[in-house]
Amino acid sequence: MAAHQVAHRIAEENQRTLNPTCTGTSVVAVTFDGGVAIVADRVASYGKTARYKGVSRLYRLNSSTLIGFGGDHADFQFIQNLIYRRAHDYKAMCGDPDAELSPMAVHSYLTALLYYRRSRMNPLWNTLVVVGTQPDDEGVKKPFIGIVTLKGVAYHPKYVATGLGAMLIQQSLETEFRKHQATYGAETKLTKDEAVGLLRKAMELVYYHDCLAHSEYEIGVVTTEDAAVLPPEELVGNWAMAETNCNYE
Amino acid sequence: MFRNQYDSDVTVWSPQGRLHQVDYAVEAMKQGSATVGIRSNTHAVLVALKRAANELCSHQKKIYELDRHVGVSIAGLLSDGRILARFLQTECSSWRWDYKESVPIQVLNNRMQLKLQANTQHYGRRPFGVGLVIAGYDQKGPHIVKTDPSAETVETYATSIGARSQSARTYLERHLADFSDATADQLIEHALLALRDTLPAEENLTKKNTTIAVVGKGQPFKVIDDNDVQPYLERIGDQPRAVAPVEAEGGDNMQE
Repeated sequence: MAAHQVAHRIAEENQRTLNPTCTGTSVVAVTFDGGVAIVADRVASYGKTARYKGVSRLYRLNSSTLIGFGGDHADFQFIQNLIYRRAHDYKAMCGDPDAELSPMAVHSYLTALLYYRRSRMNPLWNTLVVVGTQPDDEGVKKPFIGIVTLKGVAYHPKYVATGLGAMLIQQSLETEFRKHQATYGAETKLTKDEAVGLLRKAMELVYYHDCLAHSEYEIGVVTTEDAAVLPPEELVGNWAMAETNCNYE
Repeated sequence: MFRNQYDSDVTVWSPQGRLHQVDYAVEAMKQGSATVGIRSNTHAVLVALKRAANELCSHQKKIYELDRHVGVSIAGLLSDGRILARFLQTECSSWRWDYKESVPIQVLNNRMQLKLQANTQHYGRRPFGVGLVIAGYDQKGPHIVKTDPSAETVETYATSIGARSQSARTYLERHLADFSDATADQLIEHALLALRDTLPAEENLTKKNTTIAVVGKGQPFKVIDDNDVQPYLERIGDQPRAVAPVEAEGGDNMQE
């Protein structure tokens, strides 16, 4: 590039995010009867290198909300701090040390934030999944998933996978849900154990097919009682097909 | 209360430790027509007397819906009251924009208090000459909040402000034990009976001069006017007046 083009590019990179640096890959979440489960692996990749291991991509905000991220790790740490401070201010505003932001409130705030940054052409390069239990008009807590992308696209699905998982896993989740409905009836939901089992299978599939995925992952579960990120788990997987699939050098 | 040398600006203290401009503003609130608010464990209700300046005029609107879950009744300078009602409406709607949820009533209280207090501490401003009774329902349950020009913002089980409201407060104190478990309709009856006590003996509550509002569990904020008020008035029609109204101070003027 000519000198003035290099200078211009550097200036632009200093003013807006052009691409992410250390990234997380897929996040998968499913609702079940009485709560939501979410899973993400524990690596931050630098391009295709698995650079930082032992990184948690799930954040427990309060007893009814977990947030998982994919995309730029630094941008997520910024968002994490913003949310933490907002939750803290909320307690002060309500004059109640036990006041908690609901998952819907967090998701709506993040939607407004990410869309605003996208409109300024300086996005926070993340896909965020907010999961939890959300009180309805009667005050009864219902399972909640809210997803926001870096473009500010946001919606409330019953199950979701982000990143490459959106391509690979979402259809498998859909199939499982349909099978469950066909077996047990349209209105029944998965149990907690079924949901967590489904997420473990999903992680295994992601590990096979996504080169940025890693074998160590953690599962988060929110029920009407509490939200918790479970201790990390390691998966091995079945690599037997490697014996037969040798058609490359 | 009479004029003295310490009452020209709100930023001047009197030797007795009073801000006279704030006290005078509270007097303005006391000239407005009465309003009553009561809450139970499930609902909060407001009733208000609407004044008409003369027979040719319509009766003034006293109750404003702020959001699905909260509304306010005003006593005093209605024009000041409208500014505060509009402020609260924008607070409710900007919270809903950010969070897609109803604003907690405590947050509204804090914002209201700051806005009212600012006018009692800056040179050149005057306190709002109006008291508000806010009725709201959030995750903590129903709330009745009373504010006045001194910026004091306080949550209550039941309250009344405006002209001759002491009679209403007497009724409310006497029946306080009945409110917690009352149904919405029973609460409205109590509030109307309390409001009726503020009227001079020869006047009565009519569907033209009375307005009712209710909010609560499963009940979005709803204002009831005109013909819809009549059934409630008929229900209290046979109950005698408990108390003769306390003598009013000051007369009717442009304030409501």
